[in-house]
Amino acid sequence: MKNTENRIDQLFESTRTEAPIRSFESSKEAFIAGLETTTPTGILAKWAKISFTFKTLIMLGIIGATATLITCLVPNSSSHEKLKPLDPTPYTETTEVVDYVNEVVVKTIYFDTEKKWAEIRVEPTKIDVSDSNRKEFNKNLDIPFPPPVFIKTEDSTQAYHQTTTKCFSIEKNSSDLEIERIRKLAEAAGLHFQYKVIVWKGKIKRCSLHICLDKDNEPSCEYDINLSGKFWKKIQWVEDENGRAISFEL
Amino acid sequence: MNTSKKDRFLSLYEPVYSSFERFCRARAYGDMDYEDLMNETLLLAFQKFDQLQSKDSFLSFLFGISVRLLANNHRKKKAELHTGTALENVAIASENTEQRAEVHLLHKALRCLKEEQREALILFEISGFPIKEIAQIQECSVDAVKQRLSRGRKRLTEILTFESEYKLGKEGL
Repeated sequence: MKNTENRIDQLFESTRTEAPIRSFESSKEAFIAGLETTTPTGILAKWAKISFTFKTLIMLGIIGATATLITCLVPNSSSHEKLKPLDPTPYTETTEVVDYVNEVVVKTIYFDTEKKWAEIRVEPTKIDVSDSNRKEFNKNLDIPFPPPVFIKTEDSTQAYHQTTTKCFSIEKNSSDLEIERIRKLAEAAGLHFQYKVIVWKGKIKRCSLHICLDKDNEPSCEYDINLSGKFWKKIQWVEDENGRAISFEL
Repeated sequence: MNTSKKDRFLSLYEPVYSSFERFCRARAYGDMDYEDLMNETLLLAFQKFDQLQSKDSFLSFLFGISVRLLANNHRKKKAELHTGTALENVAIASENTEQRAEVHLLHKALRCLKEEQREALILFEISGFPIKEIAQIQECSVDAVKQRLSRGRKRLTEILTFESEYKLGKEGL
């Protein structure tokens, strides 16, 4: 074993002291020759060329795919003539301004494209709006407003009706007088409004509502709801210029 | 500017080239042509020459690049293409001198070791690098290098013992 160890040391010593096979000059020449081929005219240029070709291929592929897509998706002029022209929608590029003044919310929608506007008025007619109720009401301002109603006139231009949204709320602390007032306003707007309440110590314990709207040439819209416990329910409908209900929401 | 860089590079390379060649011959034995390894290392080193922090660590810088090149080459598994030519070249080079025969024997024995053990032994025994620097080149701990050296040498002893016994047996027959 010791002999082998010595032998290993001897072999390493021979390797350490061995003269190089290649001279420095030949090594230098090989290095310089290699350096010349790796200059921009050599390998780098080759790589640049390959990468350029690869990039070009990708770009051509993308351009080709885009052109094919455009050709497929965009109809040509002859087929375009056969298509029915689309009705201009007033809901593009609108600006909405919402004001909350004296418990009346006025939402004005400006239609930039048509230079027209529609105004929606939301009137919360909750009796005795207390601070807490006001807070509750403010919370519910996020509820989407009904869209403005528009009709087509004979010359096909669009005219916007000014609509009014009436908004009420019924809760546990509401009195039957309040509900009666809502019923009268609803009936005045053409809504069928029926209700039943069970009052206990001046407060509503249970309440059932039935609201129905008859529409011209359309099925009537009905809604039934039973309220009990700690309830809070919003009732709102949209009236046209003549004060007639055209839609309602619970 | 490129010429001055080349001159500076060659001026640093000249004093260490023999040591570098020994390392490449021992390390690339059976894997690839040592001349290819040398040239590729030099070209890469020249490209990264600006990253060299100290002139004293130029040889270590070259070895680090060689080690990574060999690792990449090993991954590509192209060894079978080079084995024949590399062994043949060494055989031709070492046919005249006894010393070269011994070197050839050592290279052959080292070839049987694990990559890391072989590399550590070459760097330590042939190139004369301290263990700390070998750890930096091999990107491992000092203890790992010590272990590689110890196990490598042990394995080398086994290989050479077996070879001498085999030879003796053959002669006896």
